[in-house]
Amino acid sequence: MKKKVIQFLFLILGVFGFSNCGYNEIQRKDEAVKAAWAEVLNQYKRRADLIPQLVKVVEGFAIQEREVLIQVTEARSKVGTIQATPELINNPEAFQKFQRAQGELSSALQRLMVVVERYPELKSDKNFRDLQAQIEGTENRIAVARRRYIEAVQDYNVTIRIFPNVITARIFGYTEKPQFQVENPEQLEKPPEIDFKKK
Amino acid sequence: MFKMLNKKNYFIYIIIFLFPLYLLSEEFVPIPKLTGRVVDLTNTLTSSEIQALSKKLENLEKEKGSQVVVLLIPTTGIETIEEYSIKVAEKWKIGRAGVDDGVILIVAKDDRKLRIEVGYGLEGAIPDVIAKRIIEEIIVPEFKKGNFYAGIDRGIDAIITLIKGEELPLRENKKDSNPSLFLIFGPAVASFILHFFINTFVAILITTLVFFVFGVFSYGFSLELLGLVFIMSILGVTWYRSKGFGSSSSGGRGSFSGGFSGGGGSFGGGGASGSW
Repeated sequence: MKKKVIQFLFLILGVFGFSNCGYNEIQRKDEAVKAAWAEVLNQYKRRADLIPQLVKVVEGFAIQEREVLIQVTEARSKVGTIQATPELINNPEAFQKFQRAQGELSSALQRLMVVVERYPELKSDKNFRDLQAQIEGTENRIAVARRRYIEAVQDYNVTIRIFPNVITARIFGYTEKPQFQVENPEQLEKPPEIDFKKK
Repeated sequence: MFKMLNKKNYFIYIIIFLFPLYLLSEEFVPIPKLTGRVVDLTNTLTSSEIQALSKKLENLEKEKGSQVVVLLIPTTGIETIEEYSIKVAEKWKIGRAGVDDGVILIVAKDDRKLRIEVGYGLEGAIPDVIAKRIIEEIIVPEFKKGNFYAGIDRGIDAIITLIKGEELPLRENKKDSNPSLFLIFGPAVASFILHFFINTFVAILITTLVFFVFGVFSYGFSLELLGLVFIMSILGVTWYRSKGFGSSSSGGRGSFSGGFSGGGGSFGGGGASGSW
């Protein structure tokens, strides 16, 4: 009887030990990062889907702004060429490329939204207003999704670096996930150009 | 080096150290407590107006289960209303867990900005475009005239109408029993009873295992759970041994104060913002 009790205790100790090596924790956080990333991709895709409609509506009122429209369209198609797969987070290089393309699209869109201010008829067009609300909503969702991804990755990256987990992570091949940086660093470096003549 | 640390310099050091704290307190507006369905920190609404709105929102929750709340604050500080509003949403967790059917109408009065933050589950009923229209066509015209109550009231009406048109899971009555109480006191009682019949050690082990398995099913695997169940089953035996059959106190149940709290709904940044 006593022997069985001791065996029982060892069994519990074993379960204790196994869950202490961090394997379960890594699994949980790895999955959290994947889910957060899927949401980021989802929202980026939503934005990309809205752009052709937006370009079409703006063209109807402001065909003179061809340059900005072309920039948006080009940035949009560039984003489309990069395969946005869930596996992207395991390839830091492709991840950076994807991020850069999305950043370019963000700034092209911003420029378009500034230009649009000069066209009161466009601004009061119902289609345009609806699209604008959708784009604004999507940009906000992207911001939220990015922040949640950043938090999930932070949590995961710390988890696989602290002591007992670091060994488990090595054994099972879990590496750090890439983190988001400022969306368009080039744009931050150069001061905004203000053209006073045009007004 | 030590000479520099005379009394005058101390003062400067203290200021230097405290300065960042000052900045923090100035610029990041803390998330207010969820004291009711309508939280007004600007004293814009009268208490009867707050009551009327709260009643309306309470009726909606009784009927559809969705939670809608209104927050009026003077300013969102250095953060944009979108950044601030999602933080409020993450803290308050308005809406039912899993259904995510919460809406927050947030007004930053001195910033002259407002936002409708829509939970995941209502993004279909209240798409961004519609949220924007509610803001621009219903709320903002009233706000421009200074009629804050009318704007909020009519905006809320529009939101309620949209939610009522949406098919949501039926409202289920909250279960009164708290499963964690079962896990806390269950092992103690079980091991206490068992140890009359079998070896004390075995009694502890069996109760630990049985309750641990139960716990894993409802909460998932965790060491804290195992520890809790183990300690409680030991306590069930030892408490009797040390004290004998004395008074047996019943576990105090956390009483509900009848107040309002978020149901655990989550948000993903849906909705729209506007200004007046």
